[in-house]
Amino acid sequence: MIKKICDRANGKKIEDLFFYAVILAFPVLQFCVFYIGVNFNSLLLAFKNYESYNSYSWSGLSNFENLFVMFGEKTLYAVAFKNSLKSFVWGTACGLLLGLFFSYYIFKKGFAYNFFKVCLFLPSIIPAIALVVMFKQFADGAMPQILGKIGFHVKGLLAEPKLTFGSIIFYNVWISFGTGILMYAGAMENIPESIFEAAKLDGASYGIEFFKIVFPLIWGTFSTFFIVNVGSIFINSMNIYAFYGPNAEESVYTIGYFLYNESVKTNAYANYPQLAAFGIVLSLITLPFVYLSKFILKKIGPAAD
Amino acid sequence: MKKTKNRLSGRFMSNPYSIITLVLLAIYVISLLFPTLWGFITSFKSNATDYLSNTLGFPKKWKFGNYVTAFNNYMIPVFKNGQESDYYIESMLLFSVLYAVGSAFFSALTCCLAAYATSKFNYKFSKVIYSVVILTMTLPIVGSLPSEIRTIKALNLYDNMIGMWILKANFLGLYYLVFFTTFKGLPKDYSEAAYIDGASDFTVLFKISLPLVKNIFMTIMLIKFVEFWNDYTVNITYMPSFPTLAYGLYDYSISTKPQINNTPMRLAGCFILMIPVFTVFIFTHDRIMSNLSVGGVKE
Repeated sequence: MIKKICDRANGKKIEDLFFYAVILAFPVLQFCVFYIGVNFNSLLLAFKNYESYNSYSWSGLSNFENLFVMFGEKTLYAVAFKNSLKSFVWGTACGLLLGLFFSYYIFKKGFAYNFFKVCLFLPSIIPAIALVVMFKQFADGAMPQILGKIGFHVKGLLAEPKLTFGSIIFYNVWISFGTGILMYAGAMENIPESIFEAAKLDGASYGIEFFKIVFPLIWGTFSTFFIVNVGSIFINSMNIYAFYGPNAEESVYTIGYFLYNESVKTNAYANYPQLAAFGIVLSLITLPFVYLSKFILKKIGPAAD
Repeated sequence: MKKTKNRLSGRFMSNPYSIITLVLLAIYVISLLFPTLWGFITSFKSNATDYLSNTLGFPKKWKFGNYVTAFNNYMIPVFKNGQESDYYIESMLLFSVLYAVGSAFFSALTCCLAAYATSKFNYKFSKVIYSVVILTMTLPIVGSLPSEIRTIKALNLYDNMIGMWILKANFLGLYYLVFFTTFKGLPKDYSEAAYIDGASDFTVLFKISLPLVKNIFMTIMLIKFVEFWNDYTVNITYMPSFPTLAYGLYDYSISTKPQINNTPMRLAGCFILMIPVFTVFIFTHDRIMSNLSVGGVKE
């Protein structure tokens, strides 16, 4: 009898293991090829040089040496670096914080909150390219006329070189609220109602409720968004390709745009090793900042109190 | 109950924080809706006789024909094997549907299956997978696109619709965590009863667990569908022979053809692309905008 039960249990274990292997086979294989394989290949590529079509040979550290020479010679890298950092600072300061306040308003079901929720989410569902086309035409077509009527004369928000990158940052913040709002509101919904009731009995104002209760309790979600933002400083292309295609002016280059544009150019193979080396350097620059911000957020966050 | 809710909302609206937020939200909505309305009205103008002299006003004569011209000029020439084929809006619509639905389905399914296996079976490998997801979410890998392009070319997946579905079907990211916590939170009663009745793991998965998370599956699939539908870079990067509508608009927006190289025509082309997405959004906005959290979806 015991043997029979043991056999059945063993049979179930084997069946479970078989099921587990079958279900995970594709996801794990996909991950091995398109994450581990791709990144490992990228690492190797950084130490190679282009020979002929699809053929590369070892070149040691020459791609990294070239990078430092190019940093010194070309202003493009410095401009792209500065623009990427500017986008991160403004995107985080305005996008994350405004998103937080807007979400609290929606969570508290303020006046017309459903309408605002739909409007904030709308840019996330409209094709980016359609929004960019509309923004471009409005910024350079309608805005000069509107501003002209109140005494400001500009060629256009994008056409005026001094305003171009500022307008692009504004555009990127303007369309960025959608997913954040849903996530913050979802996190706020998870706060137990009893906490709000206790705060109300203690006479807490809404400001106190937000800063002392809601914000600390959704700190995890806020930290996640912040860390993801830090990690994508050099990945975010700021929709420059949608604005200008492959021919953007140097003054609006971001690192994300540069890497993408160089990777998809016709006959880009020759550049692949250099781009891979650049990618590694950028990853190494970003990595400590990601983990440092993770550490700081954990230290100053309410969980540490 | 409703009265209490209104009273609470009324109290909330009487404090300075909410009034400032309301003002900011109102400015945001105006900045969103005014250009959209302006764009829509402008798309009915004639460029030479109306737009240039009357940029902000209503059209003197509504030119509905702009949309017909825009429709007919959505055309992408594709060069393959030394031959040129022209793709028009119908073909682009088909490619968009195939790419967006296929990629959204397989990507949501991969996340769902990986989360199911790792949340239900307490093997060490499950913990490894979970840690990998968390790690890759914060690991900043920059500049791996050239290597990715080389890999998909080496695997014959470049310029291939099925290849795109495979490429997009990864389990990494936030949605894995959404499925993971949802499966963890499902009551075990049904599956245990099924196991006692002799059901296999596959039966429990397909007949019990998947139907219980079908709403979350649909929500994640819809969010991914919108993301893939709007992705204009896929044709530039991976799939040049299957132009989608989003890529069609990108090409249209930089076209120098005299018929469409002006503001009203560019905007007409823009609104043509928005129609299908708006239609999907109107019917599914409740589901797409349900509060998604790592604790699942609140209905």
